Amino acid sequence: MPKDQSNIRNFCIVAHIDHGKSTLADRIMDVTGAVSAREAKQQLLDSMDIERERGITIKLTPVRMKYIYEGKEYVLNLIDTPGHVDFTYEVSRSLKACEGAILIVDASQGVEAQTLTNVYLALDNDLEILPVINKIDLPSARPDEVKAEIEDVIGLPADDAPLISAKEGIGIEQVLEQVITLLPPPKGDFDAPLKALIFDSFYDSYKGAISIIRVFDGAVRAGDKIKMMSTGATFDVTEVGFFTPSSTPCESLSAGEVGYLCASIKNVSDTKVGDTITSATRPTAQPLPGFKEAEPMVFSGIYPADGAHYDDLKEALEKLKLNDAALFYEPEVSAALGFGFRCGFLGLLHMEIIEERLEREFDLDLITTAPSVSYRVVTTKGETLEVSNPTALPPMGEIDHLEEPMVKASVYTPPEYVGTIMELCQDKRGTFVNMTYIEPTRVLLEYDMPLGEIIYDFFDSLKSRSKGYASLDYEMNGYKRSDLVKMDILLNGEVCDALSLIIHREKAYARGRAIAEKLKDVIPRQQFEIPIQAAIGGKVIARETVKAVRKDVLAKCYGGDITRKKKLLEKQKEGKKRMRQIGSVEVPSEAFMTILKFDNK
Amino acid sequence: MSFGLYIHIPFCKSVCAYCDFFRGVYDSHRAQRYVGALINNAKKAAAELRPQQAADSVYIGGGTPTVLAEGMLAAALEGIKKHIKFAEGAEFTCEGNPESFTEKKAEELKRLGVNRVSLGVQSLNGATLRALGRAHTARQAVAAVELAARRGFRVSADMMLGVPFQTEADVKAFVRAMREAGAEHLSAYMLTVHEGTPLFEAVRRGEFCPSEDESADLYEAFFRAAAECGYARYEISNAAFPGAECRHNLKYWRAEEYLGLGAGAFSMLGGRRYHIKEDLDAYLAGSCEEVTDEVMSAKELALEQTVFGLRTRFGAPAEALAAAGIDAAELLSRAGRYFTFDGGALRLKEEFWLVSDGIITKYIL
Repeated sequence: MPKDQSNIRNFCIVAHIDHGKSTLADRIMDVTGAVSAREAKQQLLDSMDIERERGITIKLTPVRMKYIYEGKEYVLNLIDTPGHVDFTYEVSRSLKACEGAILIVDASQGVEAQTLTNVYLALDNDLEILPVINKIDLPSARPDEVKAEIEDVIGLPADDAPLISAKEGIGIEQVLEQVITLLPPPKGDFDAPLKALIFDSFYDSYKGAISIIRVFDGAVRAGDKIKMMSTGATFDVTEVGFFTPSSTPCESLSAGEVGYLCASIKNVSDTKVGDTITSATRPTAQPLPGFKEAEPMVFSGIYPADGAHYDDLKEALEKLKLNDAALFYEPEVSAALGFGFRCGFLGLLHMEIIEERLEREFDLDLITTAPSVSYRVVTTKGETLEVSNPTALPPMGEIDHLEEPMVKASVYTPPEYVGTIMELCQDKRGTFVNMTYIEPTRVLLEYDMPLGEIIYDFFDSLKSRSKGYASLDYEMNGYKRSDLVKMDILLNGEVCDALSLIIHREKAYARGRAIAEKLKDVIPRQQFEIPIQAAIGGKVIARETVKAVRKDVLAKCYGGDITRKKKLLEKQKEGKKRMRQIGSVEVPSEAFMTILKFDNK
Repeated sequence: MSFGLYIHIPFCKSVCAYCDFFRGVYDSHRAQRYVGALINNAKKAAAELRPQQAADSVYIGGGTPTVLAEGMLAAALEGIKKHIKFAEGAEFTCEGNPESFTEKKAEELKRLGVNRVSLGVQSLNGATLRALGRAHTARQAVAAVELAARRGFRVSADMMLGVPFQTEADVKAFVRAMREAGAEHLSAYMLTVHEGTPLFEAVRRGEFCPSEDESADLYEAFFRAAAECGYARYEISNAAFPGAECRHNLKYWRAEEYLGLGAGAFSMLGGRRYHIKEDLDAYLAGSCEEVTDEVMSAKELALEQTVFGLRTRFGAPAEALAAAGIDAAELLSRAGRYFTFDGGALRLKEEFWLVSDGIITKYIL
């Protein structure tokens, strides 16, 4: 058991997306021998399929490595962090477990939106920051300018920043040298009562919920009785260990160390991320300063495509919740879709990831309703309600006014796209705040924007308008009173609650028309004419019609056709099972997706 | 116990532009061998029939049965009758094309006992007939119907709907001309443009063809005109003077028994539906290899009787509904807009016949 913390370094890597974080993590593991060449898969830390496909990190996996520097053996704990704006919160948790951070900046792209966000987060957590300049092997690399940019824009000295190429394995030793010489070791008290922070957890079907912890004071070993400080629940520790990156049990984890802890924990609510673990027999007086609770920003209804699979969906969400502290869900009933869940996500990407995982890992067919933000309703009685489901909105007569969440959006872009991006921000109801030329080739645009517009298709539009060059970051910026209305979609005269949305009055007409047109294409012709209407209050603002079907039969049907005909009918019946009955109208699942996304015209 | 006998003649004089049926171009040597194969087929199939079971309807279809050289059909029927009994007064239909239905052919069919002919007139519009690749003119077609009626045959005429250049006026003129010429039965089929046929290519090149909605209009116009001329629609695609319905075809929709002879021919006997493999060479060589399509329980058979009975004016009999586990009263309470029930049979209202699939999958299956 190491009683010496001076040889431990706990650090993470922060970077803007695509600046090479995972590649550097892989190289560091290569150099320290953490991964044998045989088991080294590309982008090792990003182990989930979805992460690999999208090139982003969602789950945090701390890896313990050994490294000999000037004759002394060091223990390096590398904590990988997620790389998308939706996961700012998860980044903050992993930062808590570290003393320092490697800041990667792309040698040709320079400082980007998330570079700054991550730096500020790291500074907030009192981390020592080591800038490194990556991708120096590229012909477009301009390391000197980027160094100047780091000093000017971020205010960090960058003279000694290693110039590396993670891809080519250039400069990795220099990075490790600086990790050891420039980052501080942890400073815990070995003799104090146990104080450990849960910064992530995941579910293992054999061992139960596994907590990923950073020990600040004391030590924990198998057989210890521990207590979760937020709930008071106690458990017997069955195993402690660390990741190399495969899980490796060890005798104990003590002050300064990072690893995992198993205690046959079955109940999700007992492995709260952000909670402090202490000894049940000799508890510490004060928990670690609490993490910010993950706050969902985007909400949508998730329903099983086949109502019979409600319990499967519930079970799947419970399991995902174990792995994903930021996921929020509660049961919800829709007249159109039956029993399902209202789910809260950190952002649209998070929402897509959860949906994909539900569909892939749990083999579920889902219907998802349009994403919404959480609105504030001030009633005529002066009460304030939070509403994230349009259906839960009180009658218009009881509403004094509505407020919507705002964000401070920062867009970095080459100057040639400023015009089109300003147009986009204006179109998304943004209020111009500021424009700064960071350098001749890059501009920072700041806008005050409704979150509800950002979650829609803003990011995709931004990327397409700037040929992928612009980057976005945003932070919450309070609520603002706004002329919002509830728009209903009526099918054959009946409101389909799953299609209702809260929208700005000025946008309602165009959106109502677009939704009606899309639904007209998606809803198959039936035995009667189906009017599709978009309405605000009782007032119809858009209308389309699905004409009655004229021919739906095999006209020529004799002896040889009967069997084939029966098969066709069976197939048609199967197709019908995947439809939802809204009043008298059969609506296919994809109809509910049509209002999720729009082509940008 | 009666049954229907179907005899398949898979040869044509020429191949139509829309056809994807199992058939080939006629050659007399192969046709001669085919006659032998049919007789062989009848001998084997007779074992599947119950003693005393006689065909009360016979239907010779194709292909184009009338392309067979004189004497061939006679030889085939003579051979088949040695093994399979034809009931007294059986309905005996032979399909034919206008161009091969000559005086001589009429004479021959009469001798063989054929009492009903079904002629593939298809259209009386010259441009349409050419686009379909038909080998006859409008005038030939009318003459063939007149000839058949004059020689005492019951005559049925086929029309294709939704075909190139067709208008509602064409459809009305067709019905009237057929009544003038003496047809007692009309069938109308929506053209299906199958991939790989010459017509498919033409339509893809942009040649005019009515849209699906226009085809539906033509369908309705056809049966309206038919009703005005005294033909009562008794099935989705068929109309006849009262009492002139096709007894043989009704068996298909009533899930009654039938035996098919010939390569590719379908049978339904004892709850089993099967067909002879569509391999003409193997059939000519004496193989009658059967492919089973389905084997049905009594309940499944009742459901088939219900589903296909709803294609007709006679509807699905109450006994079939009961055997299929369908509660007519309960169904009517849910779907009274579409169905009627008079205690004896459940019927689909005629206005919904053309869109019956969606209704049947929703309420019956």
